[in-house]
Amino acid sequence: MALIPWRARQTWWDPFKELEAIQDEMNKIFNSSLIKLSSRDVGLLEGSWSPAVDIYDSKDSILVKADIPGMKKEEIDVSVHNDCLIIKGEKKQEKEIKEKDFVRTERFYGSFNRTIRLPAEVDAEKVNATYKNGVLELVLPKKEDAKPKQIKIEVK
Amino acid sequence: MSPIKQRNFRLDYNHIEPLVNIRETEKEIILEAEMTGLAKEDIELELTGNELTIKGKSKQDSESIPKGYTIVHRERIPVEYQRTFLLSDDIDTNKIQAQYENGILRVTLAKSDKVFPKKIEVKD
Repeated sequence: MALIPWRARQTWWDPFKELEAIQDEMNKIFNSSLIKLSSRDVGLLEGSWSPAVDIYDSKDSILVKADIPGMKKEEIDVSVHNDCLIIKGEKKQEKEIKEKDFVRTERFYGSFNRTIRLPAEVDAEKVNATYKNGVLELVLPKKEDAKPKQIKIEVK
Repeated sequence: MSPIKQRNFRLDYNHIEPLVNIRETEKEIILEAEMTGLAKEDIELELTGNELTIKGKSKQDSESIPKGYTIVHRERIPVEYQRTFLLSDDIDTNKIQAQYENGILRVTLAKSDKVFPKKIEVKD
C-alpha cells in the first residue's frame, strides 16, 4: 500500500491563501522543466506538509512554537541565518514496520521544511529548543542591538 | 435589534478527527493517532460495546498568549480531537493498551485467542 502524503488541513478557509498557493505552484511548474518534475516539486499534485507555527515577540526574545508530531528529537534540524529561522526534518517510517501491514495510512511521511522570517535578529548561539508532546518550542534571545532602546528626550 | 454575538476565536475549539495509521500484525492491531500538543491527562479513551472513541483537548494552548509576549503570527489553533472506531469481534477488549509519546497516541488492540486456529486431535 502506498503512503499518501498529507496536506495540512486549514481550519478556516482563506481564498487568498489558496490563490497564493496556486500561484506558487504555477511558478514552480514554469520554473522547472517538466521532465525534471519530481513529486517534491509538485506540491499541488502530490501534497506536501509543513508544520504550523506560532511566533511571539517580547523585549528580549522571540518564541516560536511548531507542531511536529511523531518525530525524534534528533530528527529535527533547526538553524538560524541572519533573521531567518529554518526548521527542517524528515519524518521516517519506522524500519521494523512492514509496509504490507498497513491497513490505513493518513499520517504524513517525508521531508519538510519551513523558513520563518523573524521579527528581529537573534543570537543563534543561545537558542533554546525543546520538543515535547509533538510541539517544538524555540526561545531565541535577541541580539543586544536588536533590542528596543529607550531614548530619553529632554525637554528644555 | 439584537446585538450580534461575537465569537471568540481563541476559545472556539476546532473539532478535528485525528489522522491515524492502522496496521495489523499477526497478533495485534496498532492504531497511531496524531494528537499534537496534549498532555497525557488530556487524553481519554472510551469503549462502548464495540466502539472505541479517542478524545483529547489541548489545554495549554488555549491559554491566550505566553507571558510577556505579543503575537507576531499564529497558525496553531486550540483543537479538540475526537474519533470513533468500530472494533471487530476478534479484538480482546480487555487487553487494550494506550501510550502517548511525541504527540502520537498509540493504541494496541490485541486479537483475542479465539481467532487463532486451534489444532484438534483426531482420535481413533
